[in-house]
Amino acid sequence: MAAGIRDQVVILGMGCTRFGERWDVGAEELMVEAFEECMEDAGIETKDIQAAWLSTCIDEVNVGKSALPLPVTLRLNNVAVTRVENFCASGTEAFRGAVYAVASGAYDVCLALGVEKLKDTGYGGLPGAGANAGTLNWLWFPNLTAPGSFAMLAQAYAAKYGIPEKELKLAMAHVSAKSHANGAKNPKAHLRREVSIDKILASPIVAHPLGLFDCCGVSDGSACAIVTTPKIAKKLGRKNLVSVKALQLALSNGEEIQYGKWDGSHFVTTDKCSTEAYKEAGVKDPRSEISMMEVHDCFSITELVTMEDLHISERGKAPKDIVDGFYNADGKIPCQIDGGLKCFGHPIGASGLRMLYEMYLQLLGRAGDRQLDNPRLGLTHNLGGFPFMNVCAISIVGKYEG
Amino acid sequence: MTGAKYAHVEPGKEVESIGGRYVVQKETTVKYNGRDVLVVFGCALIDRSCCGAGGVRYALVPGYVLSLKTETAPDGSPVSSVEPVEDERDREALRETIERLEPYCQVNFM
Amino acid sequence: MTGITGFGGYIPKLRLNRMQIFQAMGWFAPAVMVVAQGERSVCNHDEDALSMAVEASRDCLRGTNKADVEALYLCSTTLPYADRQNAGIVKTALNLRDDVLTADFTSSLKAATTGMTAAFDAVASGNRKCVLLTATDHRRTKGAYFYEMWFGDGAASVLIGSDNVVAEFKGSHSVSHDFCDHYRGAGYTFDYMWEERWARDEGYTKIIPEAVNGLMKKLGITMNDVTKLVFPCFFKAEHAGIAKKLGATPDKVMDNMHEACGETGAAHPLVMLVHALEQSKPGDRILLASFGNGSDALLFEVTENIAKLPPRKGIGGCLADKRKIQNYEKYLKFRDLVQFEMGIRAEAGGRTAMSTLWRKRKAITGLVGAKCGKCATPQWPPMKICINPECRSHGVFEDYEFSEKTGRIVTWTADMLAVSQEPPQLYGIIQFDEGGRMILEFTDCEQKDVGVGNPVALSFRKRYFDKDRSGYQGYFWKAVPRKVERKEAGG
Repeated sequence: MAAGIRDQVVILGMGCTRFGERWDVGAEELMVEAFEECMEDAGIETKDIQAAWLSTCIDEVNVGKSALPLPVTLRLNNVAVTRVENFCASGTEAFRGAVYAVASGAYDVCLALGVEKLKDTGYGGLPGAGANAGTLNWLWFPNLTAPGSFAMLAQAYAAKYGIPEKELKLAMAHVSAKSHANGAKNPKAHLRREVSIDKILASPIVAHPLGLFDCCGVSDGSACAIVTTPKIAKKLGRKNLVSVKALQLALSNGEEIQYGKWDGSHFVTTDKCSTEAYKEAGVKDPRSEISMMEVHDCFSITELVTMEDLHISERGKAPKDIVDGFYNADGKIPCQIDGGLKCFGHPIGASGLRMLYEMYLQLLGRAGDRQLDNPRLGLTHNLGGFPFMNVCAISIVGKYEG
Repeated sequence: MTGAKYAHVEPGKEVESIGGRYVVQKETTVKYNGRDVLVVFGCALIDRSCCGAGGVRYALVPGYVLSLKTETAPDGSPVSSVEPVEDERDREALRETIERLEPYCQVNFM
Repeated sequence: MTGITGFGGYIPKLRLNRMQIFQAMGWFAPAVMVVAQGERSVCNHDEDALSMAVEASRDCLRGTNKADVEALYLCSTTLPYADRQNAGIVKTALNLRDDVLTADFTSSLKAATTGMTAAFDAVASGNRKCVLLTATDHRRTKGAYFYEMWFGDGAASVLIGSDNVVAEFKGSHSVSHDFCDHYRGAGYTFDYMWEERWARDEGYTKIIPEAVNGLMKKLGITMNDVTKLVFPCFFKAEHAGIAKKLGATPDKVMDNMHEACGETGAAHPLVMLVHALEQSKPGDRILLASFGNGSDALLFEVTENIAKLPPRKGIGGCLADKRKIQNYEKYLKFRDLVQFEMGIRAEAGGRTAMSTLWRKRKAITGLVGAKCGKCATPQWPPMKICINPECRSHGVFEDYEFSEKTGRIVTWTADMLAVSQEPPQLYGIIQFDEGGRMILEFTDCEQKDVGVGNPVALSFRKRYFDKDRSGYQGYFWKAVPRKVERKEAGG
């Protein structure tokens, strides 16, 4: 019976560009920027890459369709390249392709790269899909945005646990403030400035009840990883190995907006996905075993609720954990230690790999000012879509034990 | 009758987030039931947020003034003691007053 | 006995107070002050003649067996399609049988009475047992002139048949005259109006009496035999003058509804008639006349059955259910009379797939979902596999109409970032009282009307307009929240 791929694949190298409004570069240049750092870190040559996975979501405004933009830009050797897209979880999806390829024994060395160039659209915010959302969706799907959809999560959560709006806003402000404090230490982040809780609480509402600081932004960026087997990594002289302990996905099936059970207050997918991930990684008590996390903080409320869906905070208790500092850099399980989407923005195809990048650096002791003390297991949570219909991707990485 | 603190955001100075920025334009007090209510007016431009762009004009009501700018926050901002406006009827009345003072404001109570 | 067997109405909730118009435009057109009494009804930005027709028809059909409807006549001068049967869209929204006769009666303000005459002919001939007739108009006018003041938006519906007649049809008389007090060429937005004095003197004052007198002569009656005289004329003085000339004392004359909502174009004779019926009693004889390139006059006698009609909102109910539009500028924006910068993000749009629309017409236009044959769970959109996690059966479904169902808000938001005609964009997830769930935009409400647990009903609305592809107008349904008394915070 299949037991997952724990400790079958290790990360040989990673790269990540500076994220931001990169007026100076297009997707092609971003790919090379991430790739060059990754290759130097991995210590291999282009000809060693046997297969690759490209993650990019809104291809019509950056690279266009098929996987061709990747091998053409990186001058790969006519190898297998696959383009993947699963909304904002695309980055983890590319990693998953590369990892499974190595774990299956089909290949020895694989590349996963995510890139998104969003600033060539000519306006702020993600492009509306319009009729490209699907011929049937175009006929009925409501005119909504991500901030609005996640705001609905906040309303439902507050209603379910009877939490006054003021209390929820304070917890969300703590989520943002701590991320900004972390991101201020990250030279690759888009926004590198601490912001006080007071300033966050004094900001206006964007989509009731989410305020300006509860929402992430649009950026350009790219990140990539090279993966291989532990055996090959050791043969290449690698000492401390960062190993993949678990890789899980869970997708909605329509029940959230068509059936009467879901109360709107949490992520059905993340609940299941994390359970499977812990099983695969052999984690029995995540609250005591996970050392650090990068979750999909597109909105403060997402991070808050995710703490419970990851089975780390008890249901209804995440606000208290947050305000108590449990997830701060000096807390029990630092979350968004690189600054998160709040500081990096969200180049959709790249974010999942950017999260892994920070976990990777931390595990190897290379995180500079942000370095945590001897972390063991890192969890990334990468969510695409809306609370009522989404893709949840979770990875757990840690020191190779084998 | 719970007291709270409001750390004044400097008027005219932009506060930047990843999705946009806001700026306080003016602070004023409004008389209500014989008491002074602190009202802060500002604007926000949301031009970098994922999924959307827009702007808002807003009025933030920290509450009834207990003492004005009598303390200082760690970052140097002056801090006032206020009593948040909790009663829904009071909030509704203040919304109408604010609408007459400055139209098309999103009114938020701390 | 043939006659009206039911009725309904729809006046949009929004009202533009005529003084709001004057305050905005009085600097340019001070004379409009003369007619600046009361308020006029205004379509919301997501309403048009067709959406109002659906709402009026729904009101009319409540409490009846709509499978009895054998024909649907839609009467209007402002329908969205020149070629795509508008009545067919209404039929689909109402989820009527496929074997019905649908027809659009257009191009004249007397279209409603003309349609009614044809409907009575059809029923009397025995060819149609029951006809649903709906009249509607959303007339667009240029700003700062009398017509903007006089006109309102609205719709009304009647069922015409022989069973349980509430108002017996006694006869009609029609005259046709190519009298152009105004006209509008195909593809043009605004009417071209000739001199009002001529329209009054040569048109209204001569043609309406011609039809009315012709009818009375045909039926061998006089105005003494008439309880209520109902005819549209937005010239108040002439309205009274024509009635007087016809021998009707002021108490017999149905008010032209200027102050209440304004004149609703082709719908107005029917709007006035429905409102008159709502206030009538058995034995009342109502004489209805229209005006628009001629006139049709019809006589009705109210029967005992009028008391037995199931409750409906009607015109009276809609007149009472109103909210004032915020300002004149909003009215201009909602009617596309002024250009606002909507930004590049508003460009996201595209082609509608006619083949997808055809396959999904019942689900989309009619909001018909499915009820699982195994577990009885209502679900929308209807798909091949049941949504119930305990069931998941394949392809065992029956049609389930959601349009008349009520529900409650599970969660919602007010979104300042979504491209919107009226920010913030309000939407949320609705759980239907009898089962099923949908995510929907809200309309006809403000943020303070919305809350978790608040009740909602559904309404048929405009969805998007594709001006680049021959004017495709798309429709879908939205939720209309009902305000609930708010609890005090901390109480």
